[in-house]
Amino acid sequence: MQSARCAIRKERAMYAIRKMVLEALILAVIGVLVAVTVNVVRASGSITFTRNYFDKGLGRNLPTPNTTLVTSPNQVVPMTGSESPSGASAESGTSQPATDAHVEHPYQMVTFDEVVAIFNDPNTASGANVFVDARNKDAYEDGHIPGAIQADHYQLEDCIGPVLDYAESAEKIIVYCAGGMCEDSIFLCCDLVDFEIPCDRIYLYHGGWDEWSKSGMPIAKGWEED
Amino acid sequence: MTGTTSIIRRSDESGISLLLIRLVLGGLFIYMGMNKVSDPVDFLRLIRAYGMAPETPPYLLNGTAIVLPWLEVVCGIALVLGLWVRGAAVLIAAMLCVFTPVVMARALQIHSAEGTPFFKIAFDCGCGNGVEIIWIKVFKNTGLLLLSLLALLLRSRRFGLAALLVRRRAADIGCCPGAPAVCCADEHDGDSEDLSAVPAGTTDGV
Repeated sequence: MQSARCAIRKERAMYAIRKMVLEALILAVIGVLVAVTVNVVRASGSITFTRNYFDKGLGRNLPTPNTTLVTSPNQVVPMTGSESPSGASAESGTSQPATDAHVEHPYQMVTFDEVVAIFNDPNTASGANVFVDARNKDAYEDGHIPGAIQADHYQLEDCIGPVLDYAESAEKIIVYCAGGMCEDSIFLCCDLVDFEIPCDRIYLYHGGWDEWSKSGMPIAKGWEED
Repeated sequence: MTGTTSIIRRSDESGISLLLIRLVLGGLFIYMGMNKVSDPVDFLRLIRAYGMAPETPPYLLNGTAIVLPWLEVVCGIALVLGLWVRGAAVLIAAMLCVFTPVVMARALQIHSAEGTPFFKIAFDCGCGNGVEIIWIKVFKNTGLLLLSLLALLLRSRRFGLAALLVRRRAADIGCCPGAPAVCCADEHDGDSEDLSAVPAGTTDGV
């Protein structure tokens, strides 16, 4: 009698497990189908399945780091002492070697003081220098360097057009993102090079928005139509 | 085992406990999943930070960023509706069993690399809730894991869509379809499923 009950219990347990696995499989299939469908039909924000979003381009079509890209001092506008904020990194008037604390990349870097100097350069207003904000739209609208154009590496097809229009005629293209560990500015530099913007005109501002916004510099909010 | 089982059975009788678990767990997963769905690229960046999937080729990383948020939403909806509850609960438990140690490992990595006190470590873990203090996140996830295990154990299917469907089908054909004949005897009220998953050989109640 007991063995019969055990057999019944065993059969019930196996049925329960089979049913649970089947349910999980059905839900997983539904999840995949919904995810793929939404990813295909959504107007913005979709992920291209085959795209490597994190290819920094080293060895792709770029020069080797620290060879042709180290900036000479006269390429950077000299800074003015009165514009140097306290607490900002003010190491020198020249660009850094093409590496930073956490990742190697082949782009010339500019310090906060150099960026301030470029920002205050009268030629910047006339389009000789252009700032490119590599963060997403929401972050840009919350605040950005005045005059900067937004270009999101991850939504490149939506925003690269205006950037290229400016970049093709600009002497200096200063690309920044959030700062710190953010690498989006590096990815955008790779994109600009892919679109045949000369590497020696691209400058990476590693301090980014974090440094700029905390330094008492002017900021702009909302969308800049230009 | 006997004591634990009887406590669970007693709390299960009303069906309220499972209903609450379903609503809390399902609601949270829908909320967190939809937050990720709203910005899949941001989620992609966040999961990349764990370094668990290769960047080249990008298929695993991109596929995870596309599918995972919707898997959470679908499981959450199933729980809230009370349909395929055990399947949803086991998927959620599996996800939590992966997420929690991974988040913990990254926090420990930051702790050892930067010397930040463990209880002060906070980052956006990609969980759908922005920047969070990690030890609290791990604590919450452990709680959610317990809830999902409870959802696996509880038998009542009152207040769920599945109960309605089973009752209707049982009325149509006189038994639960696809189940062994021994299940039918337990489904007389249509409110409980015979899915206790009691291991074979257990003598409890025999």
